[in-house]
Amino acid sequence: MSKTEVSIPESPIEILKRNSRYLRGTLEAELAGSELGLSADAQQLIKLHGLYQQKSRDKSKGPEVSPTKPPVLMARGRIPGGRLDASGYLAWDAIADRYGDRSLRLTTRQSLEVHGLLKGDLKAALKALHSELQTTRGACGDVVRNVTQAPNPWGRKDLAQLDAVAEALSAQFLAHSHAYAEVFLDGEKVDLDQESEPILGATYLPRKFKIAVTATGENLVDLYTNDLGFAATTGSDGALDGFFVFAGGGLGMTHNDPTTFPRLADELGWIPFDQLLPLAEAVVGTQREFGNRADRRRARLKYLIAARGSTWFKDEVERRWGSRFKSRDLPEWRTSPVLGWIQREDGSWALGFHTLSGRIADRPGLPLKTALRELVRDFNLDVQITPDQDLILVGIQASDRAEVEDILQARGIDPESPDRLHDRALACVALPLCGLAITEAERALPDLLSLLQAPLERHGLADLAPVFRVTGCANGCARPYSAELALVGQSPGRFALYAGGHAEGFRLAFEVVQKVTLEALPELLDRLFGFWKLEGTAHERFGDFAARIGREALATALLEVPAR
Amino acid sequence: MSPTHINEASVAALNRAFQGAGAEAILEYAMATFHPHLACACSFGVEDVALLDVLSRLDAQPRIFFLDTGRLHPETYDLMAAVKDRYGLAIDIFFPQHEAVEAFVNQRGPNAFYESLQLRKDCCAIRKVEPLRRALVGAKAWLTGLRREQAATRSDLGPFELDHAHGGILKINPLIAWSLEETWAYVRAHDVPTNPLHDQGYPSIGCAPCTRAIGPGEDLRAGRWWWEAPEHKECGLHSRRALAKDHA
Repeated sequence: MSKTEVSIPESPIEILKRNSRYLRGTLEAELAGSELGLSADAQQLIKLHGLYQQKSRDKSKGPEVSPTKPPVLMARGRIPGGRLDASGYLAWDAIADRYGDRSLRLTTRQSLEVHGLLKGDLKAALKALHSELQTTRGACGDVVRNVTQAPNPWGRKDLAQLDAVAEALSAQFLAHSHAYAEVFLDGEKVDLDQESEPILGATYLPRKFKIAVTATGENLVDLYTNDLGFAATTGSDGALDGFFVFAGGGLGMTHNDPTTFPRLADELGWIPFDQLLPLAEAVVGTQREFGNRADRRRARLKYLIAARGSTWFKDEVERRWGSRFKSRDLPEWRTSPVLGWIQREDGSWALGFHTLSGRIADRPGLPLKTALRELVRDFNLDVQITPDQDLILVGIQASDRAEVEDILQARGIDPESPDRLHDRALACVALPLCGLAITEAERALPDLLSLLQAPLERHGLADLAPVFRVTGCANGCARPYSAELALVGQSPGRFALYAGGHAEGFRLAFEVVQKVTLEALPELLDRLFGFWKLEGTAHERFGDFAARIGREALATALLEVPAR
Repeated sequence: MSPTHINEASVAALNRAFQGAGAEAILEYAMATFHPHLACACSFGVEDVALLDVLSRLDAQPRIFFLDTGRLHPETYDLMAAVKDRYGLAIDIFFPQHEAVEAFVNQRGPNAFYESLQLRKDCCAIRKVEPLRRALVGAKAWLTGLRREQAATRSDLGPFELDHAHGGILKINPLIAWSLEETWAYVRAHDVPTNPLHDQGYPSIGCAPCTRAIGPGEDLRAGRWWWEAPEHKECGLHSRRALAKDHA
C-alpha cells in the first residue's frame, strides 16, 4: 500500500468494525434496553448480522418514529443458492406471521426477508429461525453475502453439483466470530482472545462482496454483476471439471458522480475444479488488503480493479493463489426459463411460481402466502428462490400434480406470469421502507408494467418484451444496469431511463434520458417501441436494438415530438 | 436447512468443492445442513478433544457420544470427567450389550483378542461396532476426528464419506487435512485438556489391552493392535470395506 493511501482517513464504519470486538459492539445491551430503536453505531453493526433497522417513510402516516410507532427491523437470510427444505421455508413463513408484517420478500440474491420486526422480538424470531437451521449471519454488511447459484428446476446433474460449490464458498467465507450466537441466541460467551478472523480479517471487508456460481451457458444469476463469479464446465464423465472465473462486477453508482459507475465483471480465465476455494481466497484476500477503506462509495472490488488495472489485479490474484489462469473459449450464454411446470430428470415436477417483486403475502381474494405454506407443508416440498425474485417448488410427485393444480385454482392463484414482460421484471423495495430510495419502485411496478405492456401490444412486440427493471435510487439493487430497459430513481417522481443491456446480462445498459416523470412515460415508451418496431431487424431484442442504434439516435427519436 | 440428498454423486461433489476448506467451514456446513440429526463420535483422543473445543463454540452442538468398551485406560475416564467439567457438554455414553460381552469373555477368556485376528475383530464388534450402531440411530450424518495421515488405510480419505456400514448416512471428518503437529498446536493454543498417556508415548489411544506406547520412528498407529499387520489396524468403526467393494 502506498503512503498516500495510508494518509486517507478511514471511514467511520472501519473504526466501528475494528472496535466492535468481533461484531459485538453494544448490541447485547441495546437489545435488552428500553430505547425504542438502536443507536446509530448499532444500526451499522447489526447489518453484519443480516439485520437492518428500517424507517417508515410514509409521511402521510405521521412521524417516522413514535412510542406508538416504534422503529422496526428487517431480517434477511443466508440461504446459499436460495435452496430451502420444507421445514426451513416454513420457519420463515411462521416468523413473518408471528413477529413480522405477515409477508415474505424474495430477494434478487435468492434470499428471504421478513420485515416489521420489533426490537424486543428480534431474539425470539432469530431463535425460531435457528431452531430450523436458518440464519441471517452475514446476509448484509461488509462481508461475503449470500452466495447465489443457478436455479435447477430440471434436476440437471451438472447444476446439482453446484449445490456443494455454493455451500463450500458460503461456509468458507462466513465470519468466524461467535457474536451472533452470543448476542441473539443466548449462546455461551467466548473469550475475545479466542476469537479470530483468519480469512475476512478483524475489520472484515471494505464493502459488501457478492459471489455467484453457475454452469457455462446459464446466466439467470447475472454473473457479471457480482464481485466474483464462477461458471462451471463439465468433463466427459459428467462431473464438473473447472470454472471460468469472473471478477469485479457491481451495479451501484451515484447519479452525476463520474467516479462511481456500474461495471460488469472481467473474465479472468479458467481454473481446475480443485482450485475453487484457493482461488476464491486469493480474490477475497486481494480486496481485503487493497480495497478502499476510506470512501465507501468507491469501496467495492470493481473500483480497485478499475483504479489499478486488470493486469495488476490478475497478477496479484495469481501471486496470492500461487497458480495461473488458463485460457479457454467461453461458451455462449442463454437463460433457460424456470417458470411454470417443469418435469425433472427423475420424473417428478417442479413448479416455477411467478411473484411480483418477490412479495409473498395474503391479499383479499389472493392468499398466496397461505397457499405456498400449505403446498410446502402438505407435500413436503423443497423450495428454490430465483435471482429474479421468483420461487420454485421442487419435488412434486407426478401423482400429486393434479391435486396441486386444484388447490391453486380453488385459491384463485395462477402461478404463471401474465405475460412475457412480467416474466423477468424486477423492482427493488424502495419507498416506503428503504432509507436510500428517492422514488417509488416496488409499489409502482404493477402500474409501470401496464404502462409498458400497452405500447408493446400496440406495436405487436409483446412476444419480444424486454427484461425491465426499476429501482428507487442509483444503487442498483434490482440490477437495472444489466437490463434491456430500466428506470432508475433520480429525484422525487423522476427517473433516468436506461436501455441497451443484454437479456443474458453480459452488456451494460446506458442512460438515454434523465428526469422522466411517470406522466411523460406512456408517450415516451410509445415512441421508443415505435422506433424499435420501425428500425429493428426481425426478432431483434430491444436491448440489442438499443445497443446497436446507440444513445444519440434513441434520445433524438424520443425528443422528435415535444413531450406533453 | 438446505435440501440434501446423500448419495455417491453428492458426496463426491462435496469432497471436491470443500478441498482446501477449513475445519470451521466444514463444521458450519455440517451443522447448517444436518442439525439436529448430526452426531459426533468422541473417544477423547487428541483429535477428538480438538474437535470438541471447536464445536463448543458453535451456535449449537451436535449430539456427542462416547463408546465405553469397558476396557479403557483410567486416564481416559479422568479426561472425560475433565472435559465435561470444562465445557459443560452433554455426552451420551454407550456401553456394549452385557449379554454379548459375558458370552464372549466366558467362552473365549478375558484376553482372547491376542489369540487371533478374528477374535480381536469379534471383540471390537461387540465392544465398539455394535454400540456405535445404536449411537447413530436417528443420525443423518456423524462427525469424527479422523485425520488423513493417521494410517495407511486412510490415505485417500476426504472430509465427506458415504457411510455404507450405517445405512448410507454421511460421515464427516472436519480435521481430515490437519497434521498431528497442527492438532497439537491447536489444543495447546486453546488450552484443551488432553490424555496424559499422549506424553508417555501413546499417540493413538484405544482399549488398554490393545494399545501400547510407540518408539521413536514408529508409525503413529503402530501402538494399536501392535501384534497385527498394518493393513488390519482398524476396529471396524471406520471400515471402508463396503465402499471398496463398490469400487472393485
